[in-house]
Amino acid sequence: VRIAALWLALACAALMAGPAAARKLVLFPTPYFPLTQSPPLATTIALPNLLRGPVESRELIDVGMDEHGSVRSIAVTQRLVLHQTADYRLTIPAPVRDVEPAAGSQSVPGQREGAILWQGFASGRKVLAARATLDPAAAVSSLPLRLGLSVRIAGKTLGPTPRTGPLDVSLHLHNTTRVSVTTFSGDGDRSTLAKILDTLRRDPGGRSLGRSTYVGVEGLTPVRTAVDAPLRVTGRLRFAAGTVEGGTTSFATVLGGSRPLDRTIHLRGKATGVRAPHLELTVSPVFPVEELRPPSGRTWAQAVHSNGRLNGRRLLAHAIEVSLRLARVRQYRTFLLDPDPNGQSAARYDYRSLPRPAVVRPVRAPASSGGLGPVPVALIAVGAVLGAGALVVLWAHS
Amino acid sequence: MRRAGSLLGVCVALLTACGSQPHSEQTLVFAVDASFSKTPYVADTIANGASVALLELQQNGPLRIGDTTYRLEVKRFDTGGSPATAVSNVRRSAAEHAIAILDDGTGVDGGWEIAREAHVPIGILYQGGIDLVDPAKRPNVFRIVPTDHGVAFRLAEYLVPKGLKLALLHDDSGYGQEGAAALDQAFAHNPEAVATRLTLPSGASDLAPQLLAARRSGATAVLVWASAPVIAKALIAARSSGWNVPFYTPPAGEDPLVRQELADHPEWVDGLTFASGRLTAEGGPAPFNVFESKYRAAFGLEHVGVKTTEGNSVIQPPEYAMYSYDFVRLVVAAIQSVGGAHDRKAVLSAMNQVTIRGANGDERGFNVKNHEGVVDDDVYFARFDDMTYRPVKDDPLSATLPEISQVGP
Repeated sequence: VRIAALWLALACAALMAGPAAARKLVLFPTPYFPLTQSPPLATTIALPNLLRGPVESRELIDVGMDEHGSVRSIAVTQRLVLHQTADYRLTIPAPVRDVEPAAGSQSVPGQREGAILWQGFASGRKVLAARATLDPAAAVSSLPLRLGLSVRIAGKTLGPTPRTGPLDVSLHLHNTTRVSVTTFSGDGDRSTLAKILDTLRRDPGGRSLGRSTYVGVEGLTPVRTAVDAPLRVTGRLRFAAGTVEGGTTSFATVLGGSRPLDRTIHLRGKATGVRAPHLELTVSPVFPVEELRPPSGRTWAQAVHSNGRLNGRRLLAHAIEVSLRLARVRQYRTFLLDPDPNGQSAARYDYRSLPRPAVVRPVRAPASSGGLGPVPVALIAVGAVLGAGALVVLWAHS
Repeated sequence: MRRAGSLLGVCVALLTACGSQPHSEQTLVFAVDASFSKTPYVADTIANGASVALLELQQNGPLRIGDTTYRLEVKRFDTGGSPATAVSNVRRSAAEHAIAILDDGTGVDGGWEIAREAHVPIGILYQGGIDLVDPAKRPNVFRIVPTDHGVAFRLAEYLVPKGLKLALLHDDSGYGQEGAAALDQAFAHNPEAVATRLTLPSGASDLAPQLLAARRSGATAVLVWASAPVIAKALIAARSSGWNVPFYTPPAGEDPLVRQELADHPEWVDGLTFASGRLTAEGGPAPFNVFESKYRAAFGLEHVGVKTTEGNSVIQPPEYAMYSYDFVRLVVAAIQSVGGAHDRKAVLSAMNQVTIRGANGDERGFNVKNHEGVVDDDVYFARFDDMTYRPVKDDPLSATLPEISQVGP
């Protein structure tokens, strides 16, 4: 709700800045403005953070999937590096089920309902590393990629037993980061926009621009636009048992940005005695560096100076599009909150197939166990009911 | 008409009755299980800190939560230093439906299960033994005092870079043995820093033989983990023989008894450095000073019984009182968070979810994974000079801390 209100305010501020024809200063949507509430994951817990900064955040999100690609588990290893000689008290909101210190941690994390806690004193540099197991139902909607996996052999879905025959694997990947936001168009100040783009090129995280960057715009108009975070996806599909002839099992692709959000990977061949495959995927939100490259010259300032066709309207649209995309990437680089809004953060998502759960079959009781069979039990039950009814009738007439 | 009027009256009475909440009163007892007869400084300070919290919470009358009014009381149970008596006290407290037990640590090993059955939280406010607190195994045991682990590791962190050869001495009490175990862990990676390890008999009147052995080991400094009387005897034995190496101690070194025992030779106390939990947060000394004022308003100045060279009486800051004050307020915060003390299990569970602003100005609270209210990082070092102590300047945390006034009229 807060995020929606923020974007509404931004759009209103832009549109109420004055008559459409006049040039007005408008707050530019830098990558510092998140486009949705999550990520980073949010919960109801709210305790103030105490830190000096800067804090670096590195996260590895381990996503466990079933044989269809549905998410079954999520665990995050977050490594925070503090650079300060001062107290710290950090609350990292997360639907956490369990948390343990991760390798290299110089302190032990605490756990409350909806948060990971850190508290202590850092004398210079301190590493706080935690491995948190999350409630997948509460965190799955903040993952950047959704998968669908279908494995068929001889036209039938592969089950737990090894099968042989023509293999048809279909792996569908979908980038889930796209959102629709209200922003604005108009004729922007070219030199300011060139400076903004050059700054973003040097610092795609947007720290240098912060939250207070303005641009002069004429002819403001509200527009809706869709924004996503480009994802670099590399993966491998392997069969633990049996052999597969033909087809490839490794792939690499980029989803989103200037490319489609979806991709389906097919693998066909001849399978002999194969079981359910094991899928491994690594997903990294990537800054769209190619969109930050000026069309000519070494900088956007040079490009604007030398290229008259790069008008203020096109430049504003491009700068907003790129900046919003960077904002989206920035969000997915902090699946768990980086407590320092100015900190450097990075995240990688590792999707892995989980072992198929063992099937527990009911055990039939041996005939010689001495128990009563189902028929005598049913007869006793009927008799008990009839007997109880008779007692009630007797009591009523007594 | 009269009939209609009386009917109206009945209706008004019924509506009034419906509008007001049913009200009940309850007394909540905070049981202090400590050695009032053997170590009165610690026990009294714990009980007094709890009383200050209750005075504050009830300054405008009994505490009202939901539809219940709570009268809060502190009840003292003397252990006489006996674990068996301490456990017996825990049993009595649980039977009397105490809302919490404030313990110096003596009764915890034997009594925590009894308290758990009654969903009574135990707050350890003196002993720092590593095994006393374990959120998984002992979910009702909490602690607000520096842990032995924290003190030992901070001592190692502080002393090893100095290149000292340490004589690690501990007494034969439970406190001393727990400390020795913590020191063994802390110095495990730096055996070169340890010249010798010796046990000091608590009952001995003279520790000269042990200190002589330490001196002959080639030690260039002494770290004594012992009760206050043993620390005093160790200092006397060393200094009286002319061995003027630096002395380091855990929090017991700041016990007034050490200075009282050495009142005839105040210069022997100079340089004694102890590790303890910081009294002030990063925000400055103001919150602690406020707490100290409340404490003194209730219980007066706590005179150590010695004077500075200028003739000023030395005052002991209410350090352990700060911890019991915070623990009581955390229990009350837990009660408030679940809407009352009727469901003791819910209150105990809420102890993991609440945070208060502590007497030193820092946030204080427990969580599912950690029942320690003082984090290891918060252990600082202070050095005596002229019977008062001040934070050292050669440790990053201690160097940031202000001095606390310790002289009175």
